[in-house]
Amino acid sequence: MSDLVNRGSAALRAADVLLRAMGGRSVMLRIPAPAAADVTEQLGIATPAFQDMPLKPVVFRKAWATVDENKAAKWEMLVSASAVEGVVGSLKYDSASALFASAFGVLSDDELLEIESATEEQAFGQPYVYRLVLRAPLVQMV
Amino acid sequence: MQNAKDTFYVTLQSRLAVINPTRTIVLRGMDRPGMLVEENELPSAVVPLNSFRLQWTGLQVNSEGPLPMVTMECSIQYATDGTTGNGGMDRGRLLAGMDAELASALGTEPQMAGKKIIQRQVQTL
Repeated sequence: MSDLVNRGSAALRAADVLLRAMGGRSVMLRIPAPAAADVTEQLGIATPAFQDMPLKPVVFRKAWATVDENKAAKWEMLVSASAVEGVVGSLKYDSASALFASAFGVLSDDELLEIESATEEQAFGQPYVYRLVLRAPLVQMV
Repeated sequence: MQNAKDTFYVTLQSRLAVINPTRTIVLRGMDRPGMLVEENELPSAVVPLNSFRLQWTGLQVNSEGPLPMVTMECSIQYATDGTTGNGGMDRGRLLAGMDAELASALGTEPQMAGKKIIQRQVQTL
């Protein structure tokens, strides 16, 4: 059992090294504050506060976005599981999936990208990297 | 007109909460009745299921009368994937349940208070 844990943590460290070697950079995960108990936010009177948490190291798989006709541009980003675990622990989330589900987006070079999906890669039962599919901001019109 | 929009949402949400208290959604950690106004929430590509989404889609102003008459159009959208344990095969029944809840909430009296007052005046005459 301890052998499996050691192998899992070895994969985690290896992923960290690889991400840094590939030019690992830093982005910010923008997380809204929990909703207010009254209806002011539901009516659009009040807006939630946001918290930016750094994620590092991360790597964009391609330097350019995938653009399909009439669809928003998409990027694929790999995030170190150690960075995600740090944020999950410090903000007391139940899991990484809960963290990404509640996040408003990823702030990269002053551009807020929406998280379309988040999946994890595991080695010996332990996640070592998260793969986020990000899309260009939605047109915020009503 | 913002007051009318707010009143419509709060009234409809409270009616639905009475009709089916178990229909709730969790948004940003808060458990609340399963209804939201899209323009008041964070923009997202994800469609929340098993809840009612309000969109204000139209506005008309008729100024022919002594006072301008403003008419707004509200679109209510809802969807379900069914129950995971049932392989989604019950989604038709769940959607019918949502149809009934919405019809009941919209049909609850009073719908047009102004119309009732007019009827009462006619009766006294």
